[in-house]
Amino acid sequence: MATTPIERKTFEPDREASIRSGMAHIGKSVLVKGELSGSEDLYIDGEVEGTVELRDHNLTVGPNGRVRANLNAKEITVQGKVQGNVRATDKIEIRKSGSLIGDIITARITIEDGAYFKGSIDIQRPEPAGRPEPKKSEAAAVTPPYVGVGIEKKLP
Amino acid sequence: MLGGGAVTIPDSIKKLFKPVGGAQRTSEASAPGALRRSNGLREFCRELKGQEALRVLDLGAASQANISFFTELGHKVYAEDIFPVLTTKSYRIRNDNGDWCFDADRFLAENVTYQMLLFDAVLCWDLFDLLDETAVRPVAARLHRVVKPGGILLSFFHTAEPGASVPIYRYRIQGEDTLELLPRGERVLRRPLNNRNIEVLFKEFHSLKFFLARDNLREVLIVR
Repeated sequence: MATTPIERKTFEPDREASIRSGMAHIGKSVLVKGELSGSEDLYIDGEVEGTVELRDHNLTVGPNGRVRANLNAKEITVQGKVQGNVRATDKIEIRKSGSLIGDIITARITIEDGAYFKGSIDIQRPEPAGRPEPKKSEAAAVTPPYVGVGIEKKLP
Repeated sequence: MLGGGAVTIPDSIKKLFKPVGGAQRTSEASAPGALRRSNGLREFCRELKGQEALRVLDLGAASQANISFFTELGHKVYAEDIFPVLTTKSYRIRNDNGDWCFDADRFLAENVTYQMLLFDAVLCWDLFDLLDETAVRPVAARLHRVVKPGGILLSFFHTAEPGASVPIYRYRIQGEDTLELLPRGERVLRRPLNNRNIEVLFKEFHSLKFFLARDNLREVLIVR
């Protein structure tokens, strides 16, 4: 008997993954105001105002998520809109559909092309690693491919 | 006659197809951009050398390459992308004569709103070419207010003729003197600023250093 392979289209992989894994989920029609805290991973696809405190767990703001809150989690992924200060002990990822307005404190950050970010970024690594050696300038070794003339003018 | 087996390409031929610049691509790169040598950026980086925990403001598109470049040097990065604000928000109002004009007051009330003397370095990229005429001077004055004395600005100015369409780029730092330019749109150049115009625009600052290039982009390092 001939079988036809089932083609499955996944438009919201993170959302589906969250449902599969039993991750706590705030749906897109839900509005939460106040202090949210928990000890499991959370997926927000709705609207949240206040604070979100997950400490050692991961937070995902889905493409429909609209968050006006200060966030604290281990890993934070932003696909929707976030306005507030964000602290992630491990990593923050702003996807291309994501928008974040606020100050970030994290150990690592990933920003995709097309993402919108306005605010400051403070990289705080958990262990005080030695600072990397400043990269040697290649300027001395490479001849510029164009005429680079520096004209300095002191203004009165 | 060509055989069906694997063809070995000599190294001498492979060299011909080596990417220009040979710079390593970052993981964020989705499409290749043109690499451009930047003497202005080289001077900018030289000014920052040996200093730690500086505050760097990037007024271009949010870029992981730029953020990583400065945070790895121990600096704190601030980012504010003005281009989408100018393209998505309407700052048009009617003036007393009933004509449409740019609401520079509202623009300044909503953008680049930082406390005084905060930054050690600012990457303006081609911001001044994107701004409406009425916002150019106020933004320069605002930058003078938020940059510390001795702080630096790096700004680019297109040198094309007025009315020409100029490309707008995402500027990704690939090295101390290398930029990757990724197109993000085009804009009609209304007022190319010549060296004298630029000097007047930044007359409150301490000094300016111009870098002339073969392409139509003038780089200027401005010291407050």
